[in-house]
Amino acid sequence: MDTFQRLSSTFKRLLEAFLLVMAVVVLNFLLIQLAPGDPVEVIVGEMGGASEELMAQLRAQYGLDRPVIEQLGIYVGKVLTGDLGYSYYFNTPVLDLLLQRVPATVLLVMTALFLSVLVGTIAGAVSAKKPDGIGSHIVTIISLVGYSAPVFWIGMMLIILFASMWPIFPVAGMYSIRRPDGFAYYVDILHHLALPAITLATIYVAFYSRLARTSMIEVLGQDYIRTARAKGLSERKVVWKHGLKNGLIPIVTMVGLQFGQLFAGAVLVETVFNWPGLGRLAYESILRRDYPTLLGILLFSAVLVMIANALTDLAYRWIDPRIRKT
Amino acid sequence: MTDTAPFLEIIDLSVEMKTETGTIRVLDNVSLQIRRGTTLGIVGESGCGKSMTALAMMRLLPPGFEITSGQIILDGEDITRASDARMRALRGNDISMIFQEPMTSLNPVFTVGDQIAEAVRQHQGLDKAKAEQRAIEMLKSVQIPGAEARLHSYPHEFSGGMRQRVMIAMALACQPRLIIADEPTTALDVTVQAQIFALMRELQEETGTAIMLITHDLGAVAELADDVAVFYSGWRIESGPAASILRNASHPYTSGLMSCTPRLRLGKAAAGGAADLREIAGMVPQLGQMPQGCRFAPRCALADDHCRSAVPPDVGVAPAHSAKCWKTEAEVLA
Ligand SMILES: Nc1ncnc2c1ncn2[C@@H]1O[C@H](COP(=O)(O)OP(=O)(O)OP(=O)(O)O)[C@@H](O)[C@H]1O
Ligand SMILES: [Mg+2]
Repeated sequence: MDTFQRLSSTFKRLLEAFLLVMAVVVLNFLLIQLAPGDPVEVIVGEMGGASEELMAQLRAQYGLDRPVIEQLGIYVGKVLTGDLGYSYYFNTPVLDLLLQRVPATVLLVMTALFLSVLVGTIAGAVSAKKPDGIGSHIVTIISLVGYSAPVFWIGMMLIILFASMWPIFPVAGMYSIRRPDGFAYYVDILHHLALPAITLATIYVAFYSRLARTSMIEVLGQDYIRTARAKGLSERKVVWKHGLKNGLIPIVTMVGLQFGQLFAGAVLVETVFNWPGLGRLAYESILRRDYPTLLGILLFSAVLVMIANALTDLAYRWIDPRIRKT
Repeated sequence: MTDTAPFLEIIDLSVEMKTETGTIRVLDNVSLQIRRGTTLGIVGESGCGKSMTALAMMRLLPPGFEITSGQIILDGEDITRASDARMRALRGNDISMIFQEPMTSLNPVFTVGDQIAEAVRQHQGLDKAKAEQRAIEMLKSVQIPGAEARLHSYPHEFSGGMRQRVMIAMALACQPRLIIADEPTTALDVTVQAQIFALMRELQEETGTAIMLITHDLGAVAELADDVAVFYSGWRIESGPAASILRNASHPYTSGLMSCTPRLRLGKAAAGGAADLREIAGMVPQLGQMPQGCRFAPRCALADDHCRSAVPPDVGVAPAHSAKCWKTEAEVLA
């Protein structure tokens, strides 16, 4: 009975997720119809101009001459069979294009997320131990700066400082021109990853350090912290074990909520650093009016955010036993 | 040291709180003693400094509070200024504390088994399996049914009374020689209160630990305490053997408390009876604006100008029984 309940609730969630994704597909499709600009004109522009006949032929080829509702129906039908259409620009299946780009984005976003949660939580917790201490004020100021500085500005600054003035990191891209083999290949990627990941992490470090600070100040004032001290535990265990596991609860909640924003941030960072991920592709697809690709990216992002939320949910259950029952 | 030497002795302890407008003395020259294996009951109205005394003994005063004078001597060792490391070795091992709020005093994200085992591992260096075994024993000793299964439960899966039992199990896990129980049953309903008190007495008989029982429940004091200390607004105004105080309360405040609970005059009260401290006419003075003389004078029917201008001394009224009152002395001399 327990298993049955769990299965049916899993099924319910999957169904919900599916409906949500379909809603996202329809909504994005309609939104793009509202956007100005004609894909065919852009394609023709790239080719250096073409006749009216060719343009009409292209429109027919891509189905752009049909009514919007019909286009939508065709698109949704294809998406349901796993076909995301062809890129106007690359002339390859959108799905292939996306699958090629996803790893880079996931790597960037996850690294940035990990960095920001780790550094933010530690900074916040340390400053919560002495809310009036110097360390606490430093964290507050740094997080204020990090919070208000635009992402691309931070990216530019890091490039100027650490790729140009003091060139310890590459300026852009994900690989060196001559790709090394074996282990060196991964080191090379990490080397390229450093600046974009730090850039993307910065705003979130600021955010999480403030959140962690507030959360830990509250937690450290709780009765069970006094109990932990009364047991004779060291301050390290009191703060980092008894305090932190409780202090993490709001942080995990925010990680789930912020995942979408992190993708939005990735668009900027990938563009600044020429990082070959979904974000830069999204930006370029907009310029190229490559709508099938753009729609595919939006769909992928929605699915990724949902996966992330499911993972957050698991983490949340692991941390807080009080909600495990439901 | 002889056996009659107190296990814990507090001598002229003062605790002050720093505020923006100045310092406030929350404990003023408090002295008390707890003999080995006995129970000291501490009674007094809300805000009179009972919890502060307990926290000072644990050296866990909240930020802003500070011991400004006096001594706390535990088994011959002055711990008033002992190092943090020394205090950590004592806490949970030689002195344990049970808090007033069982609902919030356990960490919600760890199992009760982990929380009990943690104390044992900290102080006795037991490995995980042995500590778990010990936690099961402790849960059994506080009469939690199905101890093995409950080991892996989280605090929210327990009722208030059961949580307080877990707290007691945790406090007793390292067989401390002194347990401070700060209103351990205030948050619980009456039948559960009686169970918890019965349990504490049983455990004391088994382990021979000393108990400092802070309570509003004079019935519990009559039932459990060997000695009693009465607090009033940061002063310890009377102390002595429980029998002597209950029969022969010498401070007007204490006798006020007693007459509010007439059954105690007969020296009998059921544990958990509804014999709580009741209102005595008048208000406790604000800690910031204390009267010059006796702090109880504004509410005391016997007070005269002398009481209002000079701080009363501790006056012996019977063996080991003293009261901080000008009038008491007069009574005894007469
Ligand atoms: N965190 C705090 N900040 C400021 N003042 C406090 C704080 N905690 C206690 N006090 C003050 O210290 C004094 C002593 O408080 P204490 O907690 O020892 O009282 P108590 O006798 O334990 O009362 P109760 O029976 O209500 O538990 C009180 O006047 C109280 O107002
Ligand atoms: Mg109290």
